[in-house]
Formats: sequence, structure tokens, C-alpha cells
Amino acid sequence: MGICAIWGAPRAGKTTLAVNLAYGISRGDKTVCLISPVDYSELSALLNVKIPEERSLRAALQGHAGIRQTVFKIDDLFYVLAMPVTANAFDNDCSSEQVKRLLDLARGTFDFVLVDCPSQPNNLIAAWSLNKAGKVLLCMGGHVSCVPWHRANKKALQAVRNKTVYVSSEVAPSLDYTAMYKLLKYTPDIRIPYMREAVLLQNEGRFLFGLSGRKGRKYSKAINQLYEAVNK
Amino acid sequence: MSITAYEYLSILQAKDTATEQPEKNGGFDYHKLLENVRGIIAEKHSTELSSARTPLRP
Repeated sequence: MGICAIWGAPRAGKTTLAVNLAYGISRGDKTVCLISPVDYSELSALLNVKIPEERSLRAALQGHAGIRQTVFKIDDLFYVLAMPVTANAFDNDCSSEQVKRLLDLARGTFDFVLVDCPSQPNNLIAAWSLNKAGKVLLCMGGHVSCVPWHRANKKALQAVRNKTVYVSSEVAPSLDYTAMYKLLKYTPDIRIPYMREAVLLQNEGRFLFGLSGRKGRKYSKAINQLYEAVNK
Repeated sequence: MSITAYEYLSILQAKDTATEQPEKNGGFDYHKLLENVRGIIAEKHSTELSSARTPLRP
């Protein structure tokens, strides 16, 4: 399928969606590589692992060893490329050529490459991921404060509009999301339901996909719908 | 890996996939050229910024 970029305003549920979509895909028979281009090891905390320097995004960008030797393995089908726990945010420089080479390598190695793109328009890996992505999953939900982000990033949103899948990521229990989407003038293609336990489970390094119970099944169903949408 | 908002938007708008069909322009790959030019400008800008920084004095 290639590269899929997950993008949206701050606190719109991008990382939660990225982690659970990657996990959901890996429960099938497809390999998935989740790339986290933030300059600290966010995935170490969320997945309850310790990403070492030699199995990190930085090592993969340097390209001294093959991508299979530098990717961090979560399980047989789920891999991540993220900053190591020892990362220094002021020592993460890389070139466009390194980023493009890595994205092409990842695309050729894994069935799915998911990139959890930061909201701020200053990340080189996010920029090339958005450029090269076959699909962009735009998280439209989140909080009221997300609305001005869409206006401020209008030009960038316009650049990827033809390949955007609009995802309603509901992260607050009492927000009128229907009114919010009306304000944004978008209609979500897929709605990811609010999960009360999300923060708690995330702090424990657990996944929302595959949870039992009515809400859990509803959440997994939405992730499966999303998988179908990006696989088209 | 931080870049300016201008570079970011330029990359998003760059038609990277168009490089797969250069024959349409008689072999001349305009998008590849544009991308290279943007890369050089970005690199130059970055170097100028670094050299303009005044080191902190104790």
C-alpha cells in the first residue's frame, strides 16, 4: 500500500490513532512500520519499550546499516522507527536526501508505512511523508482549540487535499463534534469513537484496538474501516 | 530536522511523483530541477542562519 501520513492539529488524537492503527494492521498478516519523527522518544513511553540508538530513526537516517538492521521490532509484524531514549533534540539534523531515501526504503520493505506527522509546519520528515503519502489521514476531532489550526494550515491542507481521508478522532466526552465539523466545513469519512480508558491504557503501554466490550468492539471496527480506506 | 514553514510548504507542494514521467517534457525533468533548486536555496538559507548566530558570552 505504501506510505500513509497521519496528521492534524495538536491534541487531535494523531499518535493514539497511529499506534492503534499500526497495531491493528499488524494483527492481520501485513507488516507495518510506524515512523515517529518527533525529536524525542515518544514511542518508547507509549509502547513501554526502550528504543536504543542503533535501532532508531536516527540510525536509519544515517544509513550505515540496512533498514532491517536499524528498525525496532515490537513483534513479528509491527516495527517502529523513532528517536532513541538517549535522543538530544538539538542534535537531530538530517537532509532531504536522507529522508527521501529512508521513506523509499521503508515503502519497499514493509507492507504499510505509517508516519505520525507533527502538527507544526517545521518537520522535514513530516513534510516528505506528506508529499510521498498515498493517503493522508487527517484527524479533525480533538478539542475546540484545534479549529484555528485548520485555518492557519489551509495552504498545506490544500496541497494534500486530493489524497486526504477525513477522520473524526473524538477525544473529549462532551464536545459537540457535529457542530465542530460544520464549522470546519468537513464531513468525516470515518468516526473514531471516544474511549474513556484511552489515557489510562496509553500510560500502561496498552492498545485500544482489540479491547473487549461494546465500546472496544466499536473502536476496533472503526480502525478496521480506516484500514479499508487506506488500503483502497 | 527542523525546517522553515516556507520550505515545509514547498515540499508539500512539490510534484515528486511527476518525476516518474519525464518523457512527457521531451526528457527534461522540470520538477526534479525545481526540487534541486529549492534544496540549494534551503541549504544556503540554513548556512546563512547558522553563521548569523552570535555565540552566547558568559
